Amino acid sequence: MQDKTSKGGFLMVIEFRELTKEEESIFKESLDYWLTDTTLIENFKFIIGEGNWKEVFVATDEVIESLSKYSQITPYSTGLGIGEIKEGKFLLSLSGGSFISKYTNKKVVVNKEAEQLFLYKRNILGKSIHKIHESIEEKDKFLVFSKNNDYLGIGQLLVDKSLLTKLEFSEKNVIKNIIDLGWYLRKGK
Amino acid sequence: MTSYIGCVGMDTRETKDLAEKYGYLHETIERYVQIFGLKETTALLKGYEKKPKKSIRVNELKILKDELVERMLNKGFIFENVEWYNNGLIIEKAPFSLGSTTEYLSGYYFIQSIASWIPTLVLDPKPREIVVDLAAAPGGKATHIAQLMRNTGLLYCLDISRERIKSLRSNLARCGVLNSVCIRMDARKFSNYDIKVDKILLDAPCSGEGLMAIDASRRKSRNFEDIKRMSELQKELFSTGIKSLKKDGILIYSTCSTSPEENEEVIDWGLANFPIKIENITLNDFSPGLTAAFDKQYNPDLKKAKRLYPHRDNTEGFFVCKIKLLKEVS
Repeated sequence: MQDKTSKGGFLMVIEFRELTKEEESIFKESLDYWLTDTTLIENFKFIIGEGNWKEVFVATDEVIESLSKYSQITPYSTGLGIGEIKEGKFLLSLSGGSFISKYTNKKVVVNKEAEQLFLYKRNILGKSIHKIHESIEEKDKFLVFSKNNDYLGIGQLLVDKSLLTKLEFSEKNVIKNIIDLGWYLRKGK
Repeated sequence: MTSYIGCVGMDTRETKDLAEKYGYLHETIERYVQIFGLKETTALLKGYEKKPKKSIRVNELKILKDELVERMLNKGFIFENVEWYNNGLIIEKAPFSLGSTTEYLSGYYFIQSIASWIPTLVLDPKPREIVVDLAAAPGGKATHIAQLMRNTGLLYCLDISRERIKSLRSNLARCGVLNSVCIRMDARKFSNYDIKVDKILLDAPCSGEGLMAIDASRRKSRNFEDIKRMSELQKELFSTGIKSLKKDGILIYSTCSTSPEENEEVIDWGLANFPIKIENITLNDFSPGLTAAFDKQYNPDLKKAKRLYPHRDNTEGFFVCKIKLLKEVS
């Protein structure tokens, strides 16, 4: 699986393949949580890229066909990486959140001030929540949106939802920043 | 002594003065004067004193232009439209950094120079095609290609640099690209895979001679040896590109250099070695390619190539040529 690089270090080679039945079941189960409309799964093709970890990619038919046709090619990445399968769970990635953003109701809308802070890796205060979907409970993960309906990243509710309206939580961190679009500037450059 | 020119009748004092005034190597100015003449060289050097305006390309995979413009106007940005490209916008006023807006992070636009749109527009990739970007990082043109392919088909994105390919992947993800296969490799070896594709973009690594306005350090750090070295690499990349095309396939060759050795000479060499022809470029009224430089005559069809100059086009110096393969080669 490893290929020696010219500098003498080791470069991980990623092997692209179809999802096993078990991986497919884990993936679908997770998407059942996220998606309101699972036709998204039927309309796209997904593959696993396995190296140090197992990443799920969504790609076009032609991309997937090329991987089997030209198996001598070892890509660095294909299509869009939408998450990782780890310890029996599918963990949605930053770009995965963007991919499903139109098909989920696991959404929290935050105000303009929080939008900017969230993009700088900050958590969200109680007073900054504009709207939270009724299905979201404490410890749930969800997509964070701006009032302009822009997907900003992935968050997690840290407190019981009934406490969000309480004054004492208005200045407290109630949403943990799991990952935000600012990553593209901080790490993706 | 450089061997590329015979400075017959050239007033060395004038070229030395220009080199000193604008901070270039004397040999560079001598070359410019031989290619363009003294008057045009002076205009070119003045052009390089002014940075081109910033510009963005709307990523239609994520948003339509009207919606983006409305949002950005509300934030205080002012744009100018581009006559020859509907999804391009020139920035007239930016109240804050273009690279830090929610819209940028959402992949709604790519910050990209005007000249950089041209190779992709001339390539004209279509949905379901198989396309290769031979030097893809950091992904400005690759994301543009994916956009024109409507995120279908297959786009091979190659780059040799470990750091740059990370940035390529990040930009492809930010822009929502689904049809890419990124390969970290020396693009000169791509033809070894024996994959035949519809279209290839070769925005070749170059001396960056056309970027003197953006990076003034290049005025003295790049010399003729760099140009000769790049020209050899460019020919190798051109060769691999041609070998990877289907019959009637299109290769777009571009550089951000104005040196004939990195442009017309590469294509002229290609015309002598492969069954190819140069196609017309109808996009806008840019300057034609050169058919002679120094003591060399190039194929007359090179006038179909296009050159961009800072003093004429308000862009960086740029070259683009559209090539059609007449018969498959291996």
